[in-house]
Amino acid sequence: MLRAHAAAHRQQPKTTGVSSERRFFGRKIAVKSLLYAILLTHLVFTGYPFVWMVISSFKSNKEYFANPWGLPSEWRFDNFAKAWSEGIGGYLFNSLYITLFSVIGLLIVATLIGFYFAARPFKGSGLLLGMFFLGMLIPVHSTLIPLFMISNRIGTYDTFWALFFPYIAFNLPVAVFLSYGFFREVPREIEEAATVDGCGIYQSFFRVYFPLAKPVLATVTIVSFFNIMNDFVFPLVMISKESLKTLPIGLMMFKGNFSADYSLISAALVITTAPILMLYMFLQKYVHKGVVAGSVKG
Amino acid sequence: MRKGRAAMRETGLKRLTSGAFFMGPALLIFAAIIIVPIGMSMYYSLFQWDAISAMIFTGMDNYTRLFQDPVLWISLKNSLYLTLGALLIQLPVGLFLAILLGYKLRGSNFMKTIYFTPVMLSTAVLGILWAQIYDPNFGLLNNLLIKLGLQSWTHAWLGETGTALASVIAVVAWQFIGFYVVVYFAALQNISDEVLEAARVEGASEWRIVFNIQIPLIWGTITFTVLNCVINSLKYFDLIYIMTGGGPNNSSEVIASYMMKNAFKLMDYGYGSAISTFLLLFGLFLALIIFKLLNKGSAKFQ
Repeated sequence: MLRAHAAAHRQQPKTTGVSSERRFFGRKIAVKSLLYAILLTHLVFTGYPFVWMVISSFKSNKEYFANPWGLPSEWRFDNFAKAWSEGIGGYLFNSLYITLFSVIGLLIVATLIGFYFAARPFKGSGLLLGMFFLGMLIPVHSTLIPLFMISNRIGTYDTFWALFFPYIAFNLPVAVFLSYGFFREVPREIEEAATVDGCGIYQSFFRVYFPLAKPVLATVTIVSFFNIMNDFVFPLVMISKESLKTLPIGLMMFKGNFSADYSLISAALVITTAPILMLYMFLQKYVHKGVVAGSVKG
Repeated sequence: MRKGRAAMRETGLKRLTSGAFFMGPALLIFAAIIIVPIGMSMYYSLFQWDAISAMIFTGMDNYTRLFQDPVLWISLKNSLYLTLGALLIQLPVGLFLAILLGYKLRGSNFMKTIYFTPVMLSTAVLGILWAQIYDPNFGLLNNLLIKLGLQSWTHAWLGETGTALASVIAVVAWQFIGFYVVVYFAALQNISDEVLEAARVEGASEWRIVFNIQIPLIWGTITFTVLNCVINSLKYFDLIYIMTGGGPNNSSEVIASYMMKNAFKLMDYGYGSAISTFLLLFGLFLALIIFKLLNKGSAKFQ
């Protein structure tokens, strides 16, 4: 609306009286204030729960109940130390570990096939590609019971393998889509030059294509990192050992064990949130780009 | 095929091994984790099975039971409410905020960053946090209502059959609006400023610009988000499990949570498989319909 008014403003003949200019100026401010009011309301609505969570984590449990809105009378750090040592630290490590390895595995597997589809299309490769994209529509739940049974039978239940392969499989559709899209745009001449220099298909992938793929690797990493780190369903079904629990599930356990200690739980939430939030704030621009690239499919 | 290209193509055994090397890992993992289990799940759904005693073949019994199960119909209805809630709240609000952010007000980048924050976080965190906010005795929400003198509006939000599902739907909306803001914002940025300027010079109102230019031009993105929204809402599980467990009295049960309950809590794997098969087919069916409908919509715009 603002720009429309600005345009109208520019077109106003110079002879227009001052009063109408002023009225127009007032309207512009009113419109602008309204826009800000809407955006800021949503900002508070989104942000306040987190602010409240952080403030609560510094309170004593008594103060949490007595004074839910105010600041703590004394900023305490003991909640954090306790939450960390009561298991959150270990869960965080488990989550980072499985996420790191799954993302690396995903990057390798997805770029390999994405490259092949792009550089050596064959009869039926389009069909295979389509099958991967259809995979996006498949709910995790229609594979859970068999995966649980299989992992029980082959002994991967309660191991990281029971999470590793599903994380790769369910993140493959987007990753393959992105890497295929990227490699398809790489000019043919590059591989031809590599071939002239004596590169076979393997060398041209490892020496030429893969090093070029940094932007797409970054996007896939960002999109899948948060997906895997925050996954709830697979560790719920596949992991029962306390020492292997990931953050989301560990947090639920933690909440159960300390159900009356709300400020301690708040501290656990803060510890869980902080690393992801910091990473997000640093990579904000890339995260937004990555999510958009990963979600808007032709 | 040009000569230059033919030179770098592998043939025979070479081609076979390179194909296996490049495609093998992805295809194997995809087949082993997704395709084969879907088939197994359909197979299991024909049996009565608790994973301890022997499987008993019961044919379509699980499906007959499914269609007579009142809780399934409640879950289906709740899943549809969740989907409708997502479509009618998240997408329009997301689009609206994205359009507002497009006016390049000061701080709009910062606002976009904050809006998106809940999307990045684990639903376990958000579920626990919002359960605290909804807490009937100490929670912020009731506390706020009392402060405003609206005592009669307080509820045990997650503990009453009338409010449990709506309370979860509100949190899902709160979490995902930011996602659509970012996606729509990016799409709107792709529209060249000249188009909008031209329309403005011609005297088009902002309403007309939104409905006759911006929305038609990002119709592809809107199609995708609708599809994405429906698919994700149908398989929504995390917050339900964390906040209400489907209760009270099944009032917030959805298809995915009901499937999980039957399989992993009641150890009724055959019936659980029937529900998951139903979920899959229903989702695909809905996706197909939406895709057809929205494609018609885009044809209209061209």
